[in-house]
Order: sequence, then structure tokens, then C-alpha cells
Amino acid sequence: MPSATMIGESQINNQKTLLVGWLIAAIGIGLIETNVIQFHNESILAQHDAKDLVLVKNSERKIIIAGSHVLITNTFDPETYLAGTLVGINNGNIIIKDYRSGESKSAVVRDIGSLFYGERKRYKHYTLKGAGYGLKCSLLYGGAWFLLGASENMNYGMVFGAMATGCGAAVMIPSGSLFGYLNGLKKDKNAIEYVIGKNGWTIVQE
Amino acid sequence: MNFIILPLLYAFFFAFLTAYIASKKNYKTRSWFWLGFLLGFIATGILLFQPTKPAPETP
Repeated sequence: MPSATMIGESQINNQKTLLVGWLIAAIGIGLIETNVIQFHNESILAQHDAKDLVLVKNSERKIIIAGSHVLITNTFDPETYLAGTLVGINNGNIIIKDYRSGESKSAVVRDIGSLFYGERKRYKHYTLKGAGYGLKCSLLYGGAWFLLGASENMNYGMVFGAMATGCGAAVMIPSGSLFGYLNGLKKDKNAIEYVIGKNGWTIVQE
Repeated sequence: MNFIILPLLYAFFFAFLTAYIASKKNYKTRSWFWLGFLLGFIATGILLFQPTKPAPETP
């Protein structure tokens, strides 16, 4: 029965194509989500007059370029801080794109007590990011078991998939959160503090 | 750029997955592919609860 064989083969080929497509999409998602592939975003918030931040102390100079992660604290209330990515410095104001709101906020340069170069106080962001990776990994793990079971019987696939996703999530989400938190802690530690003031650094606009 | 490519990849991820399950359950692959593309995991979920159709008879 040559025609029956042909139909069976074409269905298998079709299923193989679908699986390959699914795998390519999964790999693409994995690469983008883990930042292995990065796209350059042209910032629409860029301000024409805003410039890079220059720190001066005696003869030493440090340039913090726009787009860097910074955190600034208030001279009068060190507990008050503004953290985000540096947009630039303009007319005695430092403009930062706030992590939480995503809006550009400005602070008067003479009121700044300290400037941290690096990612500080982002534990929550990294913990949630880690948990997200854990969830995605458990879904992929469950998906793989689902396909493995479904190749035998659809009911097996559903049971295997559900069990693997549940067990995977129980292990991968907490561990992902922990890794994320530790990553946030590491970045917090690596941030460099520049104390602004008479005996410290001075912020200048060039 | 991410905001276009990532949702597209997720759409294709669910489209191929839904189409694969549809093929296994003897449903129309192409229709379920587009349903998976447009509805994402909702289409996959709906299809999972559908009974498996008997295989079409070959001449």
C-alpha cells in the first residue's frame, strides 16, 4: 500500500517540523530571556542637553556615562535615595530614570550626599527575576516530559507534564529566587561609593 | 526591539506546541497552529481537554 505509507510518512515529517519549530522558538526565548542575545534600545527618553556625569576630586576625574546604573542619597536625609539608570546632568540637576516607576526623575546636585556607581538595592528585582527563570525552567521541564509521554499516549503526556512541572517548580523557583537574591547581593557589594562634598568628590557639568 | 521579538517568539512557541498536540490528536494542524499563535497557552489548554479523534482511514 504505497499511498498509505506516504500519508504516514508525511504526518511524521509534519510532526518533526512542528517539533523543530517549537524547539527553535524555545531556544530563542531562552537566549533572549537570559540576555545572551541583547538588542540595543534607542532611548526615547534621551534629552538633548543632558550630559555624562563627571566627578572630580583633586586631580582625579571619573566619568559616569549616561545609561549607567547609579544610586544617589540625600545629604540631609541619607535614607532617602533615588536609584536607576543615569539619563544625564543638566543645569545643576541630575536626571535618573527610576527603576520602580520607569520615569525620569531629577535631583539637585548640591543636595546629593553620596553617589553609588553600580546596581544597589535591587535585591527584589533580582529575586523576582530568578524566580521567573525558575518558573520558565520548570515549564520547559514539564513540557519536555509532556512531549515524552505524549509520544506514547496523550493521557500519559498530561500526567507526566503536570507532575514534572509541579516537581520542577517546587525545586527550581526557590533555587532561582535564591540565586537571584545572591546575584543582587553581589551587585550591591560591587557598587562603588563616591561621597560628595567639600572633602569628597564634586559633580561637575562639562 | 525586545518588546516585538519576545512576544512573537512566545506566540510561535505556543503555535508549534498546539499544532504538534493537534497533529497527535488528529485535529486540523493548521487551524490549531493559528489558534495557538493568537491565543497562546489558552489554545494549548483547550486542546489538551479535547478527546483524541480517530485516525483518518487511508485508502
